[in-house]
Amino acid sequence: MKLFSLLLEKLLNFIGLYNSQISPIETIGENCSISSALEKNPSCDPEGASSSGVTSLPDIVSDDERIARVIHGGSSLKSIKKLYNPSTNKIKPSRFMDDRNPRELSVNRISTLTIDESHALGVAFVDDLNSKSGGNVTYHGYGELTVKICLEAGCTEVIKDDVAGTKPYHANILYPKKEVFEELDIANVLAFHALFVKHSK
Amino acid sequence: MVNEKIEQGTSRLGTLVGGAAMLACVSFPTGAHSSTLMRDNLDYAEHKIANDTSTGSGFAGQTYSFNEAQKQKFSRKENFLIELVRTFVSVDSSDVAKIDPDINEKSFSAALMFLMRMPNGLAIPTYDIMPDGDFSYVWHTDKGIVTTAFSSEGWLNYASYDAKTGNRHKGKICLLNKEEKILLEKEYSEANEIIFSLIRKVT
Repeated sequence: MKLFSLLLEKLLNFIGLYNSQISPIETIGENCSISSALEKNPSCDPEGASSSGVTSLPDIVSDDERIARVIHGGSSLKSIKKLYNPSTNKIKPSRFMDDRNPRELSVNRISTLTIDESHALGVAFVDDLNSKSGGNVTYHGYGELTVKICLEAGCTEVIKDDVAGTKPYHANILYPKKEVFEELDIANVLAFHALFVKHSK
Repeated sequence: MVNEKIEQGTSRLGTLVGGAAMLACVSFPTGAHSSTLMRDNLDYAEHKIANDTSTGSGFAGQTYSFNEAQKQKFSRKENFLIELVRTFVSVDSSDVAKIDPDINEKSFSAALMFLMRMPNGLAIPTYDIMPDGDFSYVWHTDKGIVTTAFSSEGWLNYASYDAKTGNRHKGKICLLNKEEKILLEKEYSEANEIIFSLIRKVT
């Protein structure tokens, strides 16, 4: 039976009806969503997927995967303008820059998630940030990209980083430290192509 | 009455621009002396604003606004300049002018100078703040994106992306002479030619 499933998967993938890179077989749990996890459904907890033995996303982040860069910061107009242009909803290039070496841009892998579930990941991240730092950061939404765009922009790779299984959807966009204008160039392309999915409160 | 207010507003704008220009012109000499000069000039600009009939500007709690008739008198570039100063410059309780701690003073000064030298017909950008605190301008439309970031060391880093052709341009221009004392007109002309042509392509 297992052999039959494997052959069927390969056949469907060959004729383009099935994307083996994003296999529903490998999603978290069954009928499990982030929103239900946030409702503290004990049978569905993506954050604890590893401990419960539920399969995680593929180790290799494929080029056609959709990823989400969380946009968060203050809630004043001045703070918002540092994140995105409220008139055009275009994300500022600085949201795709980093000061570590190598540069690391934290993202969520959202190909298997709905918009609400993708937002829930961002909300959970900001809540966690606020609880640890005692801050009052606001979650504004996310900038959606594909891995392919990142690679074409000049990023080295996008790698899975599930933090020992505690964050199954987490990944990092990586590129080495470069001249400022070269990093601006990468950030420009990412900011241009990112679709800002705003969070409605 | 309206004309009087417009004249007052124009006068205040002149003071504001003059103060910002003074701030920008003396911002690049390095060392403690230059920091003092910068603070003195920023104080001067803010002091003038704070002591006019309208109240002072900035995020220290004071507000300073022109009415609609006054705003229309100013060019879009001037209005943007006012917005930048109002957003990032404040006067504290000791009546000392300060720049938003998230941005580098010299970077902000260079950016103001660049803005003042932009031709009036050029599209007005939005601003952005780099992770290291450098201030930058962004022109972002459906046609593409241009970013210019001003470093504290006197470099203008730029990058552009033309969505239609996929062409990308990037580089840096030094805005100081070897003595790092003045902003050279030649370097600004070179920056103008490169940067403004890139901006016109995406706006």
